[in-house]
Amino acid sequence: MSGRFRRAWRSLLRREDVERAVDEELAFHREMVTRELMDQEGLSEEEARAEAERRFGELWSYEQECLRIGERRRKRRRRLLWARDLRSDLRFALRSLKRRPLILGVAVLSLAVGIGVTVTVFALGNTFLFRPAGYLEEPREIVTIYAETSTEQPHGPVSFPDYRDIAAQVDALESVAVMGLDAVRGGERLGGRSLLAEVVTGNYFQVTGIRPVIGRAFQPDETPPGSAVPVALLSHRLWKEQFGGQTSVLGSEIRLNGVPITVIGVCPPGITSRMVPVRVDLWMPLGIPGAGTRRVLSELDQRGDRQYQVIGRLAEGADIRDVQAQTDVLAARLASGHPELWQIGEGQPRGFRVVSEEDSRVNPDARTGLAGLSALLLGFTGLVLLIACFNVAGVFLARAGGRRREIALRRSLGASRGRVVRLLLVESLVPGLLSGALGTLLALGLTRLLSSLTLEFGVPLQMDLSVDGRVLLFAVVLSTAVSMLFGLAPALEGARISLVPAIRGLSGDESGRPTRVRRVLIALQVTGATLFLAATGLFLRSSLEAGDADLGFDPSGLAVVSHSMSHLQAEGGDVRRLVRDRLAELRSRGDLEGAAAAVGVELTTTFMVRSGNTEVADAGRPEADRWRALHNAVTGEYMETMGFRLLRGRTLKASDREGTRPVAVVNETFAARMWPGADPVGRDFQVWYGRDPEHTYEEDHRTLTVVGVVGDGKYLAIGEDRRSVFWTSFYQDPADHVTFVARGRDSAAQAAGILGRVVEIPRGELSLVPPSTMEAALSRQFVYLRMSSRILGACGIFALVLTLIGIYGLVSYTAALGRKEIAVRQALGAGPGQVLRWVVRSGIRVTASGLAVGIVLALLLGQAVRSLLYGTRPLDPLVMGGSSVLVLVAALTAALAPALRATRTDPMSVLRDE
Amino acid sequence: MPLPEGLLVRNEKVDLVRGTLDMLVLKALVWGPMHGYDVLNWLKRISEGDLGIDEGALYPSLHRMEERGWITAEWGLSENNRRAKFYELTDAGRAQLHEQRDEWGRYTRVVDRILEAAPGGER
Repeated sequence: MSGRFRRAWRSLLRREDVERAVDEELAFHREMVTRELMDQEGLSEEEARAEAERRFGELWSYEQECLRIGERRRKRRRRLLWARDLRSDLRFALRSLKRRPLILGVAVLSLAVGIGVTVTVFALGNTFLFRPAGYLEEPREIVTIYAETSTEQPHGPVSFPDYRDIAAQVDALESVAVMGLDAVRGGERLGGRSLLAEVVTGNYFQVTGIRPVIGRAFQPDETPPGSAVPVALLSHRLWKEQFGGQTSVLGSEIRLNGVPITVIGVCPPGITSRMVPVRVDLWMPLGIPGAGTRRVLSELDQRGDRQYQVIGRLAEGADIRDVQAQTDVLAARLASGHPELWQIGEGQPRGFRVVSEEDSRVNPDARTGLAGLSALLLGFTGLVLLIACFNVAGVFLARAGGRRREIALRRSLGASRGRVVRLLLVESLVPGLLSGALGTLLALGLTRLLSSLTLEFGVPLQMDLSVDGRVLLFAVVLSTAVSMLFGLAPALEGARISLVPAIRGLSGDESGRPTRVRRVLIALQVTGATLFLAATGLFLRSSLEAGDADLGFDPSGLAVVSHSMSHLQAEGGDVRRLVRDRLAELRSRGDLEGAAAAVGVELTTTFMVRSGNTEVADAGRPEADRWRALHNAVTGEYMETMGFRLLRGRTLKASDREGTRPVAVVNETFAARMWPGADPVGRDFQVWYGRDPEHTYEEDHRTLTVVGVVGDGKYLAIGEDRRSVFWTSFYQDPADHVTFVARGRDSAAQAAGILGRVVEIPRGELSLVPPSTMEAALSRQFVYLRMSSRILGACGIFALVLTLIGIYGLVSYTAALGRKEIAVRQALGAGPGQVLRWVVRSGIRVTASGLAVGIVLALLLGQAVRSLLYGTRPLDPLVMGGSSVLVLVAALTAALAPALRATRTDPMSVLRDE
Repeated sequence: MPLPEGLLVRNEKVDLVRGTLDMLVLKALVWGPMHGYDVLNWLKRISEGDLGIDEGALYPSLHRMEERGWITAEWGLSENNRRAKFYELTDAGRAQLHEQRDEWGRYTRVVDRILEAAPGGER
């Protein structure tokens, strides 16, 4: 395009210009006609003007049409120009970034890490909170029905009889299915793996609309609950992994818990359980006899046994409110028919909660917590990302500073302020999008890693994370926003450069100090780094302290193994005898100092089995309030084997057996609360086991006599406050879950070995803790502390590195800006020491202010997470001092290199140059 | 290029249909850059005043053709030293003129043939 033409083009970019041009052109025409009429026909000016207008026709409509055309052209021109400028900006940006690959590399890498982690966290939240279950048919018609467990947990599981009532009485539902989860052990063909099975009623596939990819779903006659035919469908993943995706798997026999079962189909991929968001390995009908999955008819019939989830499909014309109304009626009926089971709290009837499919992908009670957790994680990773942004903004700001001359030249050649801003934004968009792409790749890797992680809870639980369209969109929006964020500050600063001094080669800021924006950015980075380091320190110290905590028992030399015995109980076996036999065998071994059994062992996952809703009250004062206490049932010698400190009375003995007076041992806190200041030994208290389905006593409470008091310890978590606990005799109070403990004469490993040989886990039973040393079982308690400090530590180191780069950049920039001043000072006789101090000072001042803010924030954070810290004060001086020193030393180091370079400035060459 | 829908006769002057005006303006510009008033004068001179047009209609026509790239415009000074917008034919405009001429020729030949036909369809 020629220059003449381009000018014409550009001149019509504004609306007023277009209007003025049309006016002028039409006026010119009428003027000429008027003049011609006056000259040639001798009309007066007035007459001539009237005639000219008549000939011209409808001025208004022609003018409008011209304006319309002009406006259309103007818009198209603007668009074309914009696109062309963008292309040239992009070309220029790529060229100038290519000249500084190091800057680009650092910027892209640090952002990529930030974006990758943030996207991963988003994917996590997305999986649990948003991702639709694509395998369901018409999910809008599907509802989930929960029963209230307590006021805090309104969305709890239901029992099988509840399900039967719903199916029979709620006609707003066309069909209703029930499901439960079971851990099963696969046979040889399944690699001997522990698998997660969903046990369902036969119509599960009709209700959900899940269509097997090969084979078929259950047939109604195969699945009468409790006496089902041994058939199963495999998950897509299991089919691929164990059977290579061969169709020959259909009709073949697999073994689950040793029972032969025929494979009849394979489900589509990606199905997770609706009860917990983990993937399911196979589907079996509810209660195959002998398959050891605890679903024998006598168990299914227990109305107190709430462990199922009900889903239903709405009948035609019905909506979710109809279902809620009908289940309300049912709940009222149940509350009058089974008052002991259908009440929560005093006289408050238990109700059903009907929830849409969309809102029940995750249990609504867990949803809030999950959303909160996701938000917290997103906040943390977002902070890292923000620091990365500040850093890159700093780098780009330094470049914009170094390019003052270029920008001033552009402005003087007619580039508008907006044009310069856009150029700088485009320059930041390139690395922004690049790091977005890299970050997404990183997130893909991370989610794959997370999905392959196995949460060991007896059964391997695996999450099914994936990166879908929503996550990708998030990544794109995030990286664009991020690049705008770090591009904005330099761009605004670039636009502000005033022309004359900059073009003459002087810096706009004569003092040679970096601008305020830049100093604030660096200070913020220092703040972030301090915050992360301090948090890491707190958690690190906390996990060290936790190692020295008084647990109330001595874990060294102890080993545990734990499993359920429901199988045995269901078949009418005697748990007491089995435990006695095993203990006798263990005690006959000379290598053990002691062996005992309990329902659960303190501070392991097993302890939670029994401690749910037990309430106690002083039997001597009928009016006394009930309150909650933790409960464990133990055999004789348990307290000795564990090393409990006996303070008063006696421990529980083998002689506290069935048929004798029910007794209990309590801990200090329990005694102090129940009988403040008095001797508890010999006193009675009452206990209600609440809604624990494993306890079905005839009477609704029992009275226990205290025979001893032991010292306080830790029961559920290392960081917990004091808790009230009481122990009863296992033989007076048996459960279908047993944990054996043994103390080895030489080592815990030796004891674990013996436990493993003697205590054989029955086929099909769930093992909460495989034979392991107490230290290993305990370490789960430390896992979250260790995980937190590891994650925070990684963030802290990342933030520190970013800050180092930032401070290095700041000081280099200061030195570059102040080159002339340094040269003048040197020429006037300043020594290298003075120059050094002068340059370093700028870095240190910024660091100090950032550090101060960081420490304050760290203290606030410490208060917020205090409950997670063990034995560590949020104000821990070692942690706060240590992280401050670390940040300061790092900052000094980063500032020193450019400062040293500045002292080597040759004053003559600089002054000549300017 | 739509065919003229018909020629109207009003006060013995031929009233122009829009597309036809475009073609005549293109023809006028063959002789070199002109402003709108010149184009009009040329058309009047050649048609000896037989053409009845609203003079204002000329301008949307010029602007539309400028938009289509058949002509370009530039501000310059008129003979009496006033600012005026001068239009110049582009190569695309020249090609367009040829095309429209051919089409016009075909159209008039067909219309003539019909008008001169003997009753019964035989010539």
